[in-house]
Amino acid sequence: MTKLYQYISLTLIGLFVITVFINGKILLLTHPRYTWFTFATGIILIMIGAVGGIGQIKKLYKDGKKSLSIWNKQLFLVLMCCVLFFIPIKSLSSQTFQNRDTNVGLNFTEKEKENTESKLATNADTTTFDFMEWVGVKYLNNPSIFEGKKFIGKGFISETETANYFKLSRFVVSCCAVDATPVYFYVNYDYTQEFKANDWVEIEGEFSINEVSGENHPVIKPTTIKKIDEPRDAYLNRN
Amino acid sequence: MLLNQISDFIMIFLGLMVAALPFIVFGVSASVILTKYVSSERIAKYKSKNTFISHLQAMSIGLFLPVCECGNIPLANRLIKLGFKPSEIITFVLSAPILNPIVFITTFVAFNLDPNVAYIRLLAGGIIALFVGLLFSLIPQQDALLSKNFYSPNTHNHSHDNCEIDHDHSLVNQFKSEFFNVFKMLAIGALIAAVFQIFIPRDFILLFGNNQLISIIVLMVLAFVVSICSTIDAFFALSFLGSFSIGAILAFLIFGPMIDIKSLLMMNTIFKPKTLLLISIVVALLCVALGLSVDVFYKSNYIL
Repeated sequence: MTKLYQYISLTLIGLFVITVFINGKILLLTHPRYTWFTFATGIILIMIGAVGGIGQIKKLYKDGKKSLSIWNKQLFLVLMCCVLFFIPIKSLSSQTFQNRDTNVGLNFTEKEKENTESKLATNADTTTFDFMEWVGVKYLNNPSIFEGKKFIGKGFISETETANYFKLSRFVVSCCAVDATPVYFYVNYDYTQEFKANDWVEIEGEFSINEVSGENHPVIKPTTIKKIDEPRDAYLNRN
Repeated sequence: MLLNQISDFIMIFLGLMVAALPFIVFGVSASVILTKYVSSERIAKYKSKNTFISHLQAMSIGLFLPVCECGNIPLANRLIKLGFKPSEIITFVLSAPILNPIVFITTFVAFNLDPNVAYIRLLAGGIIALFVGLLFSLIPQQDALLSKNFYSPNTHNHSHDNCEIDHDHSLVNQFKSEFFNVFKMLAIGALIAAVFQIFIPRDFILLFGNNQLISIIVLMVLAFVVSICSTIDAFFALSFLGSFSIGAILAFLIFGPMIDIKSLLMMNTIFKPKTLLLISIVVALLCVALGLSVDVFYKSNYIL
C-alpha cells in the first residue's frame, strides 16, 4: 500500500498543478514564463502516478491480497495532497507588503529607463500606461514628470501613517511569490469610510506632487475610485 | 492580521514548491535516464584519473544543465552511483546552480550596466566550487562524507516504511522514489524559508547595510533564508544596488545558489550533516573573502 499511496500522491500533486493552471491561480504562485513548463510537469506527474498506481493495483490483485489494510504512514501524504485543493490561493496581503516595503525596491536597467522615456515622449495619452510602466516612470527619479498626468490603474490598499493617504499597492514578481517586491503610489483619499486595507480598487485620477512623510512624491488625486475583485493578474511581472 | 500572515505564509510555501517542481521533475528524470542508459563503465572511460581534471569535469556538467539547485540534487545522487567521488559531487552541486547558461544570461541582463558582475559571478562561483571540492578530495575516506541513508550501487533500493527490500527497478518506481526523496526535503526547506520570510521583518535584516563586512554577511544570511532560485536571483539582487556594496551583492549571488535552507536540506539526502556544515563554513568564508576583495579592488564608481 505504501507505493500505491505514493503514486496516488504523485497524481494528486500533478492534478493540483493542472487545476491551478486551468483556473489561472498559477499566476499567483509562479511567473508566467514558467506556467507551461509547470503544466507539462503536472501532466508528467499524473502519467507517472497513473501508470505506477495501476501497476500496483494489478500487483496487489495478482498477489491475491483479498483484504487490504487502509492504514499506512503514506496515507498522511495523500491527505496532505488532498488538502491542497481546498487552500484558497490568494495574492500576498498588505501585511507582507509592509514587511517588504524597505525602500530597497526595484532597480531598472538603463535600457528599461530609455524605453520608458521614449514611451513618455511619444504618448501624450498616459491613460494607456499600465501600473508597471508608471513604476518605471517613478524610477526615472524625476517626480516633475508626473505633474498633471492622467492615471487609470488598479491595486490593493495599504495603510500609511499619514492621514488621508493610502498606498495603491502591487507586488512585482520575477519568479514566484518568494521574490515579490512591493511597489506603490500614494493616493490622496480617506478610504476608511468605504474601504479597508487589502481591498482591491480601480482608480481614475491625476498625478500631482505632494509632500508625504517629509518627502515629495507623485500622488494620485482620484476622480473615481471603485472596489473590484482581486484580478487574475494580481502580480506585475518582470521579464 | 495573523490570518493574513498565515495566508501569506502558505502562499510563499506553495510558490516555492510550485516554482521548484518542474526543476525537480527535470532533474529526477535526467537522473533516472542516466541510470538506465549510462553505465558506470562508460563514465569511468571518460572520467580523468587526475584529481584536478576530474573535478573540472564534474564542474563542467553544470554548463549543460539549464536548471537551478533543485534539479541538481537528484542528478548528483545518481552521479555518485555512477562512479563520481563525493568530493567531485561537492564541486558539481556547488557550481551547477551558477555555471549554467540561464543563470549567466539572467545575471548578464540584470546587471547589463556592467556585465563584469556576470563574469565575476561565473568565474568566482566556479573557482570556489572547484576549491571546496579539491579541499574535500584530500579526505581519504570519501564515503565518510556521505549520509547514512545514501545507499551504495551494490545494494538494493530500500523501502524504509516497512523495511522490505524493493526489487522493483522500473523507471516509474525509480522516479517515484527519487522524487519523494528530494520532495520531502524541499517541503521542509520551503516551510522554514516561508517562516523566515513572513515572521522576520526585512528592514531588520537590512538595518546592517552600512558596514562593509556586516553588509556582506547580512546579504549572505538573506540569501540563505529567502532561498530564491538561482535562475532569477540576479533581479532580486539588483534591488540592493545603491544600498549594499557590489562585493556584498556578489557574495549574495554566489553564496545563495550554493548554500540556502532549501538546497541544504536537499543535499542532506546525499551528505552527512557534518559534511554539509563544513562545506557551508568553507563556502561562507570564501564568499566573505570574495566580497571584501571585490569591494577593495573594484572601482568605487561602479554602482549606478
